[in-house]
Order: sequence, then structure tokens, then C-alpha cells
Amino acid sequence: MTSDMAHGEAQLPEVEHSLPSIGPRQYVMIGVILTVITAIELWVSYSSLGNLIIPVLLILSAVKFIVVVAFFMHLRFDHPALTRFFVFGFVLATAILFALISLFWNDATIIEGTRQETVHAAAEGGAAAGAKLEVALGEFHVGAAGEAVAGGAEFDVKNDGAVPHNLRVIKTDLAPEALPVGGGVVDESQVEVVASVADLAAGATGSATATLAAGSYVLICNVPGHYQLGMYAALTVH
Amino acid sequence: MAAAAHGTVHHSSTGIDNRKLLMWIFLASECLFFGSLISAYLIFKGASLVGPYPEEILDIPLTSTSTFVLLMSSLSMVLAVYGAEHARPRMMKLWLFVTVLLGLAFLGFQVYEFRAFGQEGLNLSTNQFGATFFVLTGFHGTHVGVGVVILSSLLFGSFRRSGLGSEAGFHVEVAGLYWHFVDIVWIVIFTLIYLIPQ
Repeated sequence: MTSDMAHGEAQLPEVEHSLPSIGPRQYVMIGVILTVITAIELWVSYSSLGNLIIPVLLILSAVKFIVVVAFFMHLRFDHPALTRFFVFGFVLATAILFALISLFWNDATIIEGTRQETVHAAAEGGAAAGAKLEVALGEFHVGAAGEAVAGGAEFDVKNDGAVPHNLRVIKTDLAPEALPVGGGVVDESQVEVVASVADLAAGATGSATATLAAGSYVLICNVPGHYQLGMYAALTVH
Repeated sequence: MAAAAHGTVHHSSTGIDNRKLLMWIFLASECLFFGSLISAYLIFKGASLVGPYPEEILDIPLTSTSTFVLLMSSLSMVLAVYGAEHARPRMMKLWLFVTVLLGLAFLGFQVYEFRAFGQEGLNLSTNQFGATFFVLTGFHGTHVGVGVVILSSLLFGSFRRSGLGSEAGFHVEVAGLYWHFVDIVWIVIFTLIYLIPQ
């Protein structure tokens, strides 16, 4: 038994207890380098490098990552097996990231699901079980009552036209015809959309709920070109 | 007898201390955890129909400052490890203390950011950006918090008469691995969420 144990211990590889061969001065230098890289990243993010911004930022980020892992985490000086374990996990995580993104990037289901969730979120906890507001969409006009009372509201939308239309309810002080436009549609990132109904085929109906605060709103169809053709209507909430 | 031998010897068949090996395997698994959260953020990025949107609310100068703070905490951590491994307890205590302070400062920045976003109307249920952003950065902040607790316990332990014992260098090094990992995750988050144009 003793000889077996001795034999087992003899088989253990020699344990590496050697300390990294760099000291505080080198660590501080590495810290300075990491700070400089971060400053460069910041400059790049505000620069006008166009399509180069993303690859440059990713490369700089990767350099920082590798420097920290190699020197601060001592992986460069440690047992190679530790590097393999960590790289395996990192590569697996990166593969999962690419797999998920390639599966779901611009996925119609997600976008549509988001629309529905967002409509409910805009209703602030689903409190909007109040007044019904009927909206009729057609070429190229939005038909709706011009006034409503603050509180929960349900927009019942019908596409009376011959082509698909949708509805966006926008809270804004801008005139109905003066919303910011980009690429043929109202730029929704520049306005506050409080309710929305996805594209409706001709004859289809849809609905959305929202809690309306007092103020000015504009109802629009944001199918490309339709807003410019006159598909907007003002709504004042008292 | 064999058990007794195992009780004192911590090395795996690779020759690596099994506690250190465990930490590295744990960190590798954490890559998968954060990789999934980052994937979710990127997939839902741009899917929000109501604001606030990332480009209108993310405060890059503020976050750059907190990133610098976390980066410097990695430097102070490695200096603490150096002190612990070279039997320089005062150096170890000083830099452990600095690391804890910098970690707390980073958490302070995050609390300030979350509160500011809340006042702007962004929370977990506002839109897809809010949901994925708060989950991702919140989990990272939780990791920083856990790191602060671990480092604080080491710092308090180092003031005992026996200090951190004969394996002080090892304990601080393993805690340092966790802390540096939290830093490298933030390096990725800072680039992907804050710096890359929306």
C-alpha cells in the first residue's frame, strides 16, 4: 500500500510554484498602456472613421482583454492547461454568441413580439382599459376623433384602404406635418411613440392600448412614404 | 492514510492546485453566462419601439470614468497579489484596501447611472433595451459586489494575528483571478454596449 502510494505520488507532475517574473514597475506600465488604449477607444468612438469604427474598437478591446488575462491574471506565466480551460470556455461563449445572433438577428418574430410588448409597456402596467378611440386608415389619410380625455385609451384601428397601413401614436408638441423624417418614414428614434399597431393588410383590424397624459399627439401611418402623402392626424388629450 | 494525504495535498493530476483549477473552470463557465447575456442584448438592440433609446441615454463620459476606475482596480489588485506572494503584508493590505475602494467607487457610478436612467423613464419593463441592459450590467455589478465582499474579507483577515496564514499569496491570487475576470467582462461590455455606435 505504501509502495503504491509512493508510486502514485511519483507520477504527479512537478508542481509549478514559480512566481511571475515581472514586478510592480512592469505592472504599472501595463496599467498605463491599458489606460492609453481606453483613451484611444474613446477617441475612436467619437471619430469619423465610418465603417472602421467597429473593427478598430473590437481589436482594441481584444488587446486589453488579452493583456489583462496574460499579465494581470498571470496566464502567460502559469500552467498551459489553465490557458486551455479558459480559452475553451471563451471560444464556446463566442460561438454561442455568433450562433444566437445569426439565428435571431432581425428576426421578424422578435420584432413583432417586441411591438406587442412595447404597446403594453407604453400602457404603463396595462391600466389602459378606458375610452375606445376608433381610427380608420385609408389612402392616404388617418381618420380619428381630434380630442380625447387623459387616462387609459384603446385605439381600435381598421384599415379601410387597399394597401397595408400601420399606426403610430406619437406624443409631441410638433405640428402633425412637421415630424422628423428620414428614409421615407418618420424617425421613431426622435419622437416618443406611446402606442403602435403593426402593419395591417387591407380590411384588417388591430388595436393598441396606452395611458394618455394631457397634451398633443399625432397619429400617423409609418409605412414608407405614407406620412408624406398625408397619413397623419392631430389628437389633443385634455 | 490516503485520505489524510489528500487532505493536505491540493494538487490535481495536472500538477495544478485543484482550488486554482476550480477557479479557472468557474471563470470559463462565467464566459458562457456573460456571453449569453451579451447575445441577448445585441439581438434585441434596436428592437425597442418606445424610448428611451441607447443613443439618447447612455452617458459615455461617465462610463469611461467608471471603466478607468475598474481598470485601475485591476492594477491595484495585481499589486496586492505581488505583495502577498512576496511576503510583503503591508503592501498587500494597502493595495487590497485600494482595490476595495475602487470597486465601491465603480458600484457608486453604476448606482448613479441606474438612478439617472430611472429618472429618464427607463427601467426593466420600459422596452427591450431597458430589459437587456439592466440584466446584463446588473449581473456584472452583482459580480463586482461579490468581489468587494471577498476582498474585504481577505483584508479583514489579514489584520488577524496569524494574518492570512501560510497560503496568503495563494488566497489573494485566486481572489485576484475573480477580480480581473470582472474587469475583462467590463472591457467587453464597455465596447459592445457603450462605444460601438447604436
